[in-house]
Amino acid sequence: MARRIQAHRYLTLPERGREISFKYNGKTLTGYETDTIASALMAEEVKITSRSFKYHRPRGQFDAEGHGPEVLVTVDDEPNLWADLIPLRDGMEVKSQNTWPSPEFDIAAVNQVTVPMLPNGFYYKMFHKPKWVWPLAEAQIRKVAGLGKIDIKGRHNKRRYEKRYRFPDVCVIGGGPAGLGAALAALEEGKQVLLIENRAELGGHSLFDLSPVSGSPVSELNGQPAYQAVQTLIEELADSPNLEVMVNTTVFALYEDNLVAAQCGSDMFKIRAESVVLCPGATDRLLVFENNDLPGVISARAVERSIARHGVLPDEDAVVVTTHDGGYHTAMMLHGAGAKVMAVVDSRTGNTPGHFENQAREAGIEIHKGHTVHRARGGRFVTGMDVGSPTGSDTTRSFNCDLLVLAVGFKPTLNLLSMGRKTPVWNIERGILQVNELPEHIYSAGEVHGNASFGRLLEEGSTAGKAAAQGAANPATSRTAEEIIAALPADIECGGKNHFICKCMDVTRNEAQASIGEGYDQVESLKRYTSMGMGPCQGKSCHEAIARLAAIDTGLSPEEAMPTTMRPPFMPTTFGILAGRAPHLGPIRRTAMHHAHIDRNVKFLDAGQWKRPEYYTTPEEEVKHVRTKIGMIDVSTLGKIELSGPDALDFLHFLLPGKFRKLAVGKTRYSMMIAEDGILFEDGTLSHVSEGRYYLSTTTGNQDAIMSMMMWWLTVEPRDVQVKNLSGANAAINVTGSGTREFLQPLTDVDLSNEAFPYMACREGSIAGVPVVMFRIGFTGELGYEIHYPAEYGESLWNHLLEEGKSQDVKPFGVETQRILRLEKGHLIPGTDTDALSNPYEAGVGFTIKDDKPDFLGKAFLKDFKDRGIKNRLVPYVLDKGVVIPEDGVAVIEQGKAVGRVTSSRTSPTLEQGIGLVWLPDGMAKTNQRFTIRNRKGVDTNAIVIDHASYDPHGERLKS
Amino acid sequence: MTQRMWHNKEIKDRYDVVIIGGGAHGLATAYYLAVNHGITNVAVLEQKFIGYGGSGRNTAILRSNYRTEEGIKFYDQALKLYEDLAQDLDFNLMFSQMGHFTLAHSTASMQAQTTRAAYNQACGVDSYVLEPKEIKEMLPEIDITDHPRYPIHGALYHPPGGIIRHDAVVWAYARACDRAGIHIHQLTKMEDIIMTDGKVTGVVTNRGKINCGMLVSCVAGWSSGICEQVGVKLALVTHPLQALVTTAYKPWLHHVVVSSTLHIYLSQTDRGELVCGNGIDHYPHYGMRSTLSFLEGYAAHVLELFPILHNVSVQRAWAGLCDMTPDYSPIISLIDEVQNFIVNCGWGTWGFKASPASGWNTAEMVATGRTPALIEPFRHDRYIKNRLVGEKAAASVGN
Ligand SMILES: Cc1cc2nc3c(=O)[nH]c(=O)nc-3n(C[C@H](O)[C@H](O)[C@H](O)COP(=O)(O)OP(=O)(O)OC[C@H]3O[C@@H](n4cnc5c(N)ncnc54)[C@H](O)[C@@H]3O)c2cc1C
Repeated sequence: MARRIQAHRYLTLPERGREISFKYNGKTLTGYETDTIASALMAEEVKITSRSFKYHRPRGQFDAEGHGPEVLVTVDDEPNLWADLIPLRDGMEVKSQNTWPSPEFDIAAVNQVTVPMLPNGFYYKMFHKPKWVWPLAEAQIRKVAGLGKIDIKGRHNKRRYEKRYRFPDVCVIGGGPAGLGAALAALEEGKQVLLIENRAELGGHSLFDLSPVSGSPVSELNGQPAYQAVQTLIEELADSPNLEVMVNTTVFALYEDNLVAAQCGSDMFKIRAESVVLCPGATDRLLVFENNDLPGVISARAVERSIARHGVLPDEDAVVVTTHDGGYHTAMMLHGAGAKVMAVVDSRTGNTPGHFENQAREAGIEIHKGHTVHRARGGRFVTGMDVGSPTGSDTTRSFNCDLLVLAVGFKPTLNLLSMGRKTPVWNIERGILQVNELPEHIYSAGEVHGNASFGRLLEEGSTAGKAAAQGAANPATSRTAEEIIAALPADIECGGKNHFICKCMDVTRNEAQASIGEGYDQVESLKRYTSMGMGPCQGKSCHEAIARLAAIDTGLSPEEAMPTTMRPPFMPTTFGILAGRAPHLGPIRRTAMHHAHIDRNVKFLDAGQWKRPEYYTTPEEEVKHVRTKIGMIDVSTLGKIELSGPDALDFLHFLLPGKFRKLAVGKTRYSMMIAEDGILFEDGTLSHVSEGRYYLSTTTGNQDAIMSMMMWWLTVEPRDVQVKNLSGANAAINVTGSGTREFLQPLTDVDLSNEAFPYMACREGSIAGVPVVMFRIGFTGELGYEIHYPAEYGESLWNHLLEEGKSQDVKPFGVETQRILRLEKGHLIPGTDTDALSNPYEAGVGFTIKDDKPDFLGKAFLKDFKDRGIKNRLVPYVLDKGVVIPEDGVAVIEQGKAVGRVTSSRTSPTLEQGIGLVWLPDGMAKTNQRFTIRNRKGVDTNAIVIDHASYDPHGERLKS
Repeated sequence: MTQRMWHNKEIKDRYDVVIIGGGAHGLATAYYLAVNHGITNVAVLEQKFIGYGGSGRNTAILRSNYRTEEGIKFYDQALKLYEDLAQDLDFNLMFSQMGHFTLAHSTASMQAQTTRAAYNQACGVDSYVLEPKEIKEMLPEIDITDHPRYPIHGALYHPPGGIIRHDAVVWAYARACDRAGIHIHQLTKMEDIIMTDGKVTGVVTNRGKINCGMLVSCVAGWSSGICEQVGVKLALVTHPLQALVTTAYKPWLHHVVVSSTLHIYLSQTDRGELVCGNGIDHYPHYGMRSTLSFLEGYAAHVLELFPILHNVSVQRAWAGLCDMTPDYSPIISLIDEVQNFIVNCGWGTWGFKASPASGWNTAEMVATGRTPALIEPFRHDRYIKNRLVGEKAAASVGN
């Protein structure tokens, strides 16, 4: 029975702190503020903490490292959290996962019987014949799959996620003796140091290390027990002004250029450090043997941590399985807590007894040399075990214990050292996996290089910390013969089917072997076929065992059988943390008149990042208003690029398909832009505003792309051109309607008469004292002036015009209105009426292309398009009155085939019938040709191709 | 006793056909050479293990709702072959035709989806446009309010689209090849191509020289390097593409959801993990590493669609190589200047779904020396001749 202990014979227990209560599966339990969820559950005698993924076998606490899947729980509706890492909080609600009705009595446990009866890899071999079986089977599988439940109500959305940044000289990861040593040394070198520890307190495993310190570079620590020495060290560090310590902080990834990504609570830290010292330590080695997954099989450090840090004894009758003196240390830890240590089973023979072996002997603990565990016995948890020879033969003894402690050496936590760059390799001498040769400015020290004493780890950390501070090479490490722990066979082979290699995905040695037998003899294929190492622990528990056993079972060399690099993240990290508060979404861009629009109850439209007025009243009403009176639209989102300098014209000739040498000052011309592949992607106007100064206006959507295209070409083929992006600097308004001239003339010093300022001209002047450039162009089909002026007057000039225009009923209109107006005129919008397949000849704007120029963007492909001739055309059409308007994008159907598509389709309020633009095969694109449009619902509508714009076909209104 | 999936064989001096690349395309080509054309003196060479490349790294979305008629017909052949593949190969490929959403976040995108639906329907592909509230009925957890930065305007829905177990496809093809007598050589890297008089006659590998009658390159992201060896320049740029999986949760998402505006997609496997990805990394690169900005960007965007995912955690992230073509359509082509050489590539971010049709037609090309009509549009020189098959809008993030 687990229980809380009040005192320990060999160490002083830490303060427990306040008693707090929490809920577990609906029951109220108590714990202390120094507990983790796992230690509190242990003290409350919760032995079975979960059910396994595939077989629903009972599972209990194993390593207390936040690695294994055994302690995954849901906390306050947040699923898949590690109970052994999370500090206990008052009132928290903890639930077990993947079990029903409870971990103790789990219905799906029948899988333990049924699944092993199926062939290896059965999910690939069943349910697919006949074909209709799979969807049914899959629906059943999906009912039981998965671990925790996502909180569909999403309560945690309200949590405040932050991103924070740090730029230390040296970032030390891991707060054990090596990490502390590294931090101290770097501080001594005068560096700013950031020390990160994923537990609630610094100290690492030495917090429960009873060994007397020797050989420490900090001499006053020698002779103290390590768990006290480490506290002394921590206190010493406490007032260093150049040190920042972050506890409860998990480094989940390490990227190029020393970008360290860490999480603490709801915060994500992005740390750029000059040097990084990795001291992540090691965890207890996984031993594979029969029933090695039963609750009650527990790692040595989990036992030691539980007793020494939380004052919780995991159970009464313990057997410790070991290969080194550390097992005796664990035995003494148990003994001192009042447990009955039935035996220490040590695989070694003839070794010189170590410090704790001697103590154990003195304490009268039974010792079995040359033995190891053969199997754990028990149904739902350990009730006994058998021991025998390490080779798996000759079972000699049995114990009726309830705790089977594995102290069989350590496996370095290599993830951050590997992280997608370095594959671990065997260090045969030390009997561990190692990552050598780290990238520049990354250092490593401590148990990650193999077991060693407190003093030596401190020293190694200190050497690495100094090297990191100085930017020197990564110092080599060494281990003495006594420090090296010989590994047991990776699997103790003595029968039975429950030798678990991967507890996350429930994969046994038998399954691995059967899979290899089926041909999956490359370790990566083996992993993928069995899913070994691909569960929540991502190989942190099993990577080493997989590597060792794969080498044996495939016959490949240890190098070839090594799974590839370990991938980020080290610990699963939530989308909330990764996203942070400021999402990586485009900023919202507003024009200078934004608030004036809001005052008029505008409906906004998202146009890329921009908010644009869609309409204020209704598009129909606004269209009618423009056609009969005067309207104003905010066109500030247009791209506005000014080009000047000796080569400006030359550059424009290269960039645009037209010729502009004859474009006199004060003139404006319509122009296309053609991509290198000959595709029409943009239109706009080019104006010669004053001598040598050109003003190019582009569409809202393409302005950034065009700007970068210009910069790119100017870099590739340098020309003497000044390019000024005035898109944000200038606001713009288009005032349009037949009465516009009369309305504007009194407000400006520019002569607006048709003679002085004709269609397709531009003039500089002022309105209400604001400097303006006016362009007489007309997308709407009415007389119109586009006024560009400094954005700081954006709102005031807009309001001024509306105010002055009251008597003439000048009203604003929106983008949707403008789209209808231009459609009545048959004007295309690139990107709306054209796509990545549209060439300019077919789009009907071939007239803008002057291909007798020497070279310009897209020339070669344009020639090809021209030679090929017109296959399709973009033409305007009308519908019969009263028919339903098809949606944008629907197809033209001819004899059951889609032969064309409608790009823009609206009701024309002016003509009171449906109008639009359509791509048709050349043969059909003839005036008065009838064709069929099929709308989204599959209903067909007749349409007729028309000759030209449906409104004012000869542009008389425009030019008057 | 279970039968082996495939065997490690001695390398022969000569094969009628040598295929480089043990991905789904190489293996499918070998398989259809055997079953459709009776050609079995064939070797597939794989530098690492089968499925090492994109075929073992993709997010396994299958669909045929493309934009151009050429594209739709080709991918539809693939989808139809996939529908019966588990039975043909006698291996459960776990193809879930769970339905595929392409979300539209703007009027322009709605128009594009409408056109796709129309062209799909005209080619007999099940595909139609949904309004936001219809989406909400099928995906109750999605946010269709105007709260997100780019609210949802609608979606293209494609019922036969779905996900498959990608590794299983590779293994099942490999097993069928092995049983037909085709050799699969893993850990065998092609290092050089042997040419005599403008003809390919063999290859040099890390395990020795191999003669061949015909050489087929199915190396996707590695294609530029291979083709350079015979002096063929391809209109290809290799970019990394990243993906991630979350830890396993009780299944709640039973469709594939894609948003090109947000550059993300996700689906949930039968194991309960969410499989997620976004657009390619913007820089050309052969490194297969993941980046923090990918994780951050993906997270920010997915939360726009599904705010309930704040607490869902990423368990693993990785990258693969994508051989991007300018028009987002593949290249399957004989090469006029180099005889006995066929190149199969340009699969970018979208090629896994094409594997059976790619293999089928490439095999026919090998066997007959002619280009099957269905893949005529995918010639390698269309970029010079300006005959692009523009699938950019339908292929990019949609995979
Ligand atoms: C993250 C990601 C997600 C994706 N998601 C999807 C998706 O959802 N849907 C979809 O349809 N597609 C998707 N794709 C694209 C898809 O994965 C690829 O297009 C497809 O797998 C290509 O298959 P392949 O057989 O042509 O090439 P690969 O699978 O890449 O195989 C090529 C093989 O050639 C080998 N090779 C290379 N050089 C040599 C040599 N010299 N000698 C011997 N062998 C060599 C490589 O080792 C490799 O195994 C995705 C890709 C990535 C990276």
